[in-house]
Amino acid sequence: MSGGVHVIHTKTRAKKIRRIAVFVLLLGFVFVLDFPIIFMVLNSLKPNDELLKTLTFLPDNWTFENYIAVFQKNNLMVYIKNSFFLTASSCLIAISASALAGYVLSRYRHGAIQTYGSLLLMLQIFPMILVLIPLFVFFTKLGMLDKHISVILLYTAICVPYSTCMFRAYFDSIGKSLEEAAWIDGCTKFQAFVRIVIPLTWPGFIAVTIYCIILCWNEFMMANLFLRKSELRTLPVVIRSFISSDSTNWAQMMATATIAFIPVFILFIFFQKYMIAGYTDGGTKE
Amino acid sequence: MERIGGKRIVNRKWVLPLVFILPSLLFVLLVNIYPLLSGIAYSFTNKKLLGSGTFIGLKNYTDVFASEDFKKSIGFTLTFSISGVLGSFVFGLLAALLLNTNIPARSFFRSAMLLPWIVPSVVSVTCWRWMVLKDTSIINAIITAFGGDPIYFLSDQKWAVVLVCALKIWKNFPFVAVSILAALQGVNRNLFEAARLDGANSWQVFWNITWPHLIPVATTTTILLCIWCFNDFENLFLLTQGGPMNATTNIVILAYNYAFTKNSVGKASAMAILQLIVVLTFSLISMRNQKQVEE
Repeated sequence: MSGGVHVIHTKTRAKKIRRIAVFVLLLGFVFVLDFPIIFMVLNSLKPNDELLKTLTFLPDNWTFENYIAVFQKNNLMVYIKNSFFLTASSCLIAISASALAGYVLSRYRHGAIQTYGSLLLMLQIFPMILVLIPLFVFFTKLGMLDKHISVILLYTAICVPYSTCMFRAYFDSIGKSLEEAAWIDGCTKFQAFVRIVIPLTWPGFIAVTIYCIILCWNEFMMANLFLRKSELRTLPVVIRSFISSDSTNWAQMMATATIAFIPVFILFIFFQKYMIAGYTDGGTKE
Repeated sequence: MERIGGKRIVNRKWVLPLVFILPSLLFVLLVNIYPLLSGIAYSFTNKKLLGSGTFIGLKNYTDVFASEDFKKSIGFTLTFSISGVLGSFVFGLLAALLLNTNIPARSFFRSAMLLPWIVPSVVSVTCWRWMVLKDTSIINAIITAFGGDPIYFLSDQKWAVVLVCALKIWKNFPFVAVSILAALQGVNRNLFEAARLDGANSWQVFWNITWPHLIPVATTTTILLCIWCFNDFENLFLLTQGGPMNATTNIVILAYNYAFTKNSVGKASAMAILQLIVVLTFSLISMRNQKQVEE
């Protein structure tokens, strides 16, 4: 009897030790993984000469001078506004367009409409360079270079295919019966969509919104190619311009990079449940 | 009379779907289909960025296949894609299996692990460049502390390749981890217990019970990873700009350079079309395989 109890005892103890070992292992792993980002934030709080001379993890002299400098000298507010404006307008257009199209793809099983659905799936694998070259030529001809509208069009277009597929998956997941009941009660199809379907699928709307915001806010290639005037630039392009300048002020660059990272980080903290659901649903469902 | 009335009802039935689809269709036509067709047309001409070109048949394609830098970029594209996909998948799978055990603060670990995935490329490249910039930067400080020689990641051709692959894996494996974790949590716990009672060891449980459940997710994430690695532009362009000596230039970067620095839109378009053909063929084949696996 007592032998049996002993065996169970050592078994739970071994289990406990294993749990602790996995915990410590994961803690170390996550620290190494996030180290570049943690290091960047800490570096942005060091004076530039300290950053260049020493390799300490924590700053010796904590300072916000880099943040103050990038706002005063580099007009960072202008770039933040640009990034914000481009992201907000592209997301708004993309979400409206994809919600409407996703609804039709989910509810109408007509051949041509489903072909359009497959086309959207295919577009997700497009190498962007293929469309960027002709678009650059096209926009140059139309005088749309160095205009925010050209980048808004592009951002909307890169958001639409995946967002539409995500919306379709969310609309598929709620049955048709509620809408049909609303139609019988005298709602038009549009009213039923706005009053019944949208309120039922708001987690989907959050997921798509976060997806679009992060895609546009983080985007570098198109902003870099189509917006060449300094006052039109977005945050990613400005950060990049630090690297190419001859005397890179690393501390200020880290401060700017941290500023670009903060909004994404906040969204991530609050909405990661929806983000993860969105990425895994839209990607795996057809 | 009846026929006219009936026809009208049929027409009205299609008003809503057409109106709903129209906005997204316009974007797709303007920003995807029209450029795709122009790109195909450009690839048969000697067009420059400004000004029109003349038709030169397949010359761009033969030139591209004959050129040394294209061959080199194919080699790098393959290295980058294969190591990026394998690395992300293996790390992602391991991370998911670890996270699926009964540990405290699991949601904290999941969030902390996802961080590299959501950080803007420009920001992560800034962090990474700083860590490998000089022979006294932190990575080299660690290497020399263990008695090694400093590595010049940004100017040594081989190490630059290692660096960009590492960045890609760092950035993409969280996606794999989260997708697989979601699938793992859907596996019926009773199956594990039953197998344990039958005396199966951890490896047998994984191979016979867990893995079969993961195959659909594993296939989808692998397909996505392949496409992302193959089409990558931002990470490479920002971290190494395709250098040193074109060691980290993939087909996309090469096409970009041909179009926007060498002003050779025709050749660049030919490369982009070849890229599309490869990606398209790959996706069609793997989608068909996936359907067979699921059935």
